[in-house]
Amino acid sequence: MAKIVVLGAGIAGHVAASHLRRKLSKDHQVVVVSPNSNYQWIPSNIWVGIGRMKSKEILFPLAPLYKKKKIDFIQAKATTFYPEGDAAESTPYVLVEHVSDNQKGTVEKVTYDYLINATGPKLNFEATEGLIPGSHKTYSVCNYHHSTEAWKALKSLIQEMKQGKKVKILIGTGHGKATCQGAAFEYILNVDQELRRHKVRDNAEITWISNEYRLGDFGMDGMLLTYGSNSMKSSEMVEMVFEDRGIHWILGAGVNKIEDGVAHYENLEGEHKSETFDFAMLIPAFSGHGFKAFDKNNNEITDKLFKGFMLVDGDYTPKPYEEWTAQDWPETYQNPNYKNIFAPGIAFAPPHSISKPRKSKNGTEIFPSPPRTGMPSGITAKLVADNIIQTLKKGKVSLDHKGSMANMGAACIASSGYGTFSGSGISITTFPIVPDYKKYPETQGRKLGKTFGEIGLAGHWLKLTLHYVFMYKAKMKPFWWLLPE
Amino acid sequence: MMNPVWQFFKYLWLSLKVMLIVAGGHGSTRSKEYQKSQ
Repeated sequence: MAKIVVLGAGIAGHVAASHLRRKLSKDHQVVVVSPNSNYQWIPSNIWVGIGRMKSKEILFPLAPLYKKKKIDFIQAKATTFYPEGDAAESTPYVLVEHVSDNQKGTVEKVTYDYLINATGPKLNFEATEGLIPGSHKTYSVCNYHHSTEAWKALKSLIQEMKQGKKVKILIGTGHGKATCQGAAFEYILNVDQELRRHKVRDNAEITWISNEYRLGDFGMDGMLLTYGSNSMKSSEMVEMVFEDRGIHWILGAGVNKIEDGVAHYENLEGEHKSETFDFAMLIPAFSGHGFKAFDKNNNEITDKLFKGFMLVDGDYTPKPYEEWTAQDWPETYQNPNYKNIFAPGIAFAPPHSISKPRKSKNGTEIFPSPPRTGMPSGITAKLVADNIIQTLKKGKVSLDHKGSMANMGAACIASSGYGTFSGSGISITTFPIVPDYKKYPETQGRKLGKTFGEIGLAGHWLKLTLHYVFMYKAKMKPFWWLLPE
Repeated sequence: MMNPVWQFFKYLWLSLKVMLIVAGGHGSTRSKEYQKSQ
């Protein structure tokens, strides 16, 4: 009998726990530790942020589902890792601090045979001075609380615009090394569409601000994609959309300070500039959670587990951009020092960025960090669960399930406007996520055909379908496991 | 407004294409088979 502890109940943690529970007999214990009481389908936060969905439509409480499915649930946050146990406890364990009302502050040792760290990122708003969601006229759509606040502010602004007020809206990244440009991209297009629906678009100047060197980089170094019967760069595709919608853009911008209605940033030329706004949605930097780790003698061993995020089977040797290879990227998400610890989803430390690193003339790093959200999170979590299942069933270590982001496809179905017949979506698929310049030297590291873009109403319907399909799957309703990640 | 009938067929095509790309497999980049294919 084994005890598998999953830290986190986001996309990666929930996928891992649900597959483990389905495929392992009840002799094995599956425990989920998460500070959040609800599961949320994060991609739909965009629609909460424009008031077209209520937060209750994108979340559900975890405890009743886990109770029904015989998954143990502890509402707590992990703080410290003891992968060798300690003087009093020979089994590895994680120290967790309860956050639920009735046990708040209680610290507990959660022992494990296998540990899946799916804690995702810390939304590191502190990394940008003054970037606090809900203050200084800045908002976020990173979770349903933030999105609800964003909509309240936007709704109020729309009312003022109806009275004739002219406003400036700024959307993009709020740090020189932020990621998740895709979410900001979706939001800016949805805001544009909503303003049109309310017939106030002419009263708004909308600007995209981003740490990307080119439009359409998305933290993936951009891509060459098939568009209809032609091939097109993602930068050209996004430029076409922004031009069409009258959206301005500022690129290579590392936002470093927010004051009331003012974003200060440094650009790649090393110039310090600022942009005023009446409403801003800026994605913060992501960081690790600052976990500590100790060996059985209580010596600190944090660097054996973490380099910001968790160390896995990637090649972390520092090397110049020109020497990066597809093989640097992890495949099993297993920690090299403690073989019973895994980190799928955003929790693993990427070996390097995907976009080319760039510095301003002052030496400030301004480029997107690599995205690992959504589909890659689900896929990597499932393969980690499958390797643990196989190991337990075979009785010997088995790592047959592999999935490098350099040999994995992903789809970004970006909503660009809500509405059954007036909606629009930009569907982009990419294969592989991390470009392999050796395998696909002629097409910027990606396979054309499998890397394609499409704009239209069908994309909106697909995004909406994915919302309902993944909510169904997350609720573990009949045959949920037939649906791919 | 886009033609909803045409968009419906496009929706079916898109769903299938996305499914094939995303669920169409993933794997190692360090295996001999992968290295040979480069």
